[in-house]
Amino acid sequence: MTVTRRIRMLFLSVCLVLTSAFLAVAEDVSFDAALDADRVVMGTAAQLTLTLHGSQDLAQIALPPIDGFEARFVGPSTQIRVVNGEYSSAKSFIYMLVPLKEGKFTIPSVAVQVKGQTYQSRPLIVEVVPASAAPAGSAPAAQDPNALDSQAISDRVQMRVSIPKASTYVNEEIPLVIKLYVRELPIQDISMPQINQEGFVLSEFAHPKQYQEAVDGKPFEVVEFDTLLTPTHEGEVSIGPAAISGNLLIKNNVQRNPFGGGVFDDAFFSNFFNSYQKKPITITSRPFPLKVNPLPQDGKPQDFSGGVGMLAFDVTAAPLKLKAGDPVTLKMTVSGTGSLKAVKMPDFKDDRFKAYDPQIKVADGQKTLEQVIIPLKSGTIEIPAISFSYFDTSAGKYTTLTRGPFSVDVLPMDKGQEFQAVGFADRPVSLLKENLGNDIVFVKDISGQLVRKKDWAGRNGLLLLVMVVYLNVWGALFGIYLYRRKLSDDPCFARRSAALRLARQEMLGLKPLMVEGGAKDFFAGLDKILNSYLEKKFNVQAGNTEFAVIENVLSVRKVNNKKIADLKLLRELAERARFASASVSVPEMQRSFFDMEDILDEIERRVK
Amino acid sequence: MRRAAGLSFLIGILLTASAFAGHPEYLFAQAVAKYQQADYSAAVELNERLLKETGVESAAVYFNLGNSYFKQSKLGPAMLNYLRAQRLAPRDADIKANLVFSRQAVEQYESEKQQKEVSRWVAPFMSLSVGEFKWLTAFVWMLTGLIFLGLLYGGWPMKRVLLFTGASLVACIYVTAAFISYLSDNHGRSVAIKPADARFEPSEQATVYFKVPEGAEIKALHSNGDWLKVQRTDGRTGWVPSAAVGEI
Repeated sequence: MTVTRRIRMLFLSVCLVLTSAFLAVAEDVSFDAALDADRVVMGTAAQLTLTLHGSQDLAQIALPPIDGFEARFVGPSTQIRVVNGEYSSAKSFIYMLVPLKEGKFTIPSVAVQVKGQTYQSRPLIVEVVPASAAPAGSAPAAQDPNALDSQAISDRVQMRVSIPKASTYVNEEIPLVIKLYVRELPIQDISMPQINQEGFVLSEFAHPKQYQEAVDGKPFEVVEFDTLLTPTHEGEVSIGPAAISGNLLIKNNVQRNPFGGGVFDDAFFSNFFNSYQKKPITITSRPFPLKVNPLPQDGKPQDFSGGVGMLAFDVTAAPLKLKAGDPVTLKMTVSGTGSLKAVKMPDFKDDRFKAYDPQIKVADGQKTLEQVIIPLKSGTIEIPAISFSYFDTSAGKYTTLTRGPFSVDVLPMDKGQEFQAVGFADRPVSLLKENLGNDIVFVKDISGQLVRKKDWAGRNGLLLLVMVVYLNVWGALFGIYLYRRKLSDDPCFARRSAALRLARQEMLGLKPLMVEGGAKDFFAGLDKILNSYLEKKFNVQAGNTEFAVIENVLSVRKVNNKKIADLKLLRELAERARFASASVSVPEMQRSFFDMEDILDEIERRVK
Repeated sequence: MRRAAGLSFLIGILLTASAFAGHPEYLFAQAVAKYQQADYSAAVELNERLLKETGVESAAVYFNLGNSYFKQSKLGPAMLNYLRAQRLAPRDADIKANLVFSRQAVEQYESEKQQKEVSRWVAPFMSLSVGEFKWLTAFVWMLTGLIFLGLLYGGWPMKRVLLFTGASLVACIYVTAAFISYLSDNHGRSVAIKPADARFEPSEQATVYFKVPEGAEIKALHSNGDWLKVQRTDGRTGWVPSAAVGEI
């Protein structure tokens, strides 16, 4: 079959279901009850099915109490049918009815509410008959939901509960065995047995065993559940009914699918309609009476441990020869048949020994107590006899078992060992247990440093000031370092940097020459200072300070043209005064001095 | 004459008392006295006045205020003030002891198992207050700068100068990263001063996500009107009324 055809068939199926759902709206609603049999054998169970037809709008049913039966809800079941385009749907609620007594009983009418309407089922009559043929202690019972013959199922599925004796004592632990016998019936999903534990407690079931066994010459598959039963009250106790639930596999015997061919003749749909169905089944046992006797008060020892059964008691102490301060391990063991968990182990108390807390555990069918004791004196010390009392069920009386005494030789410590720090913690020094108090510390009576509230970032003016000062100083120092380093590494820079300072220093020496008749010397000095300055500033060799060269450099550096002109005039005046002996007045010398200062300032500003 | 002298003496006392009445040290001493008289509500009032009216704070004030609240069984405000005290004096043994004792009384839910660990950057500096940490960071930077200059002026070769300065810079970066992490960890640190429901949205109608018990230490993330988005130690976040939370 091609994929396209499969998809087409699925599409048709979906359309059919949707159409059916639409049709369901107009369906008639009814409610009824049905029993799988009107006669039930005591120890078996009947199946009550409450079915709502024509609607699914029912989540649960409140089943009224049914006289003579215990009802157990099995689960819901939904059926949808489409036959020749006719749609019908039903929702069933299945209950297992376990009979509690023989007689004729009425299953009362059950009412349900669906979409505001009330529907009621009819009452049913059912008869519970005694299971005269069933063997004592067993009551095979099975409920077949497929309406098979109850007796026929009972022949194939049986459950038997057994205990080794019919009379026991309170707190005596006895084995309980539940066996499920199955023959020629496929049952899956078998649950652990459920049993009302009124008047007794059950231990956890062991892993079930499975084997074959012949009953009345017929082979049965057997599933065995083992546990231990401990009565908690005296008197008559009913063990059971126990119930095991499972699923019965029933093959659908459909030769043709109900949709009558067409697309549903496909293998996919054939397999679907012929599959196995799981039907819930519950197997119950008959109640099993057990007589529980109280423990006698006569002869009950004061140190009765609570142990009931057939128990053994043993005590060991080791080592029996030791040095002072060394420990002795006392070990008590209770074993045998009985409820070991309920057994109270004997207490060891003796002023001659320091006893540590015992370690008690139950494992491998015995209860052990291990306790470390340390002799407090040296010499031969006797661990007194230790007694254990329990109720012996085989003898029907209390029994006290005594072990010991044990003689312990405690050697004194070696000389000097008493004062050794090593092993001090192990020495039997009795320290008083100290319970320290616990409370808050008292208030402080000194306010401490009261500071202005700050935010989390902690703005702090002092820190900011310190940082600013620090950064400035750091920057200055670093700048000085760089400057000094350049001065030493770059001679041109050093000369250029020194040019103005030297010029100014030398100009101070000219001031005394600014007097009548001193023009020649004044201008000679001025010219020399100017040339020296220009040589250093522009890094030119001596004698290369002709005005044309200097003018060109100053123009490039964008020195004020007026200052360049002033410079030219100053040099011409100086030459005239020096070489032409021109008379120059003192004010002219002073003006020349100031012009010189202005020119130097202008050059410094423009030429870095 | 004698009456006039007595009157002027009384006026003097009153003036002196009124001058000291608003002084923080005076309020502090008064609060301690009230505490010793087991008048815890008055002690709370005086300490709160001190903080509010004078605008100053100290670890001792918060510590005493925490004690006063604790004695009134107000665990949330007590925890808040102990933590505020610890912020200012992280190495104070008394504060630490009372915090440990109070924390035992704070309910903790089983689901809140995952406690936020202290960032690895911050762990070595946990015993420092924010102010101390700030000075330490500044000092490390200054020291690095001075080392650099010292080596330069000392005439060391530039390679060595850069090597030593680089090592110092690594230390600076580490301390700075730790400081930033410290601030980040402590930013929004808060305490539930009363029990509150943390909800999925800032609304009374929103679904409750988890319960914040009184005294629980949480982190305030951001606010929306009268609601505060908080994060508890296991990382879960929810909205609680702002009035239920006090920031450390």
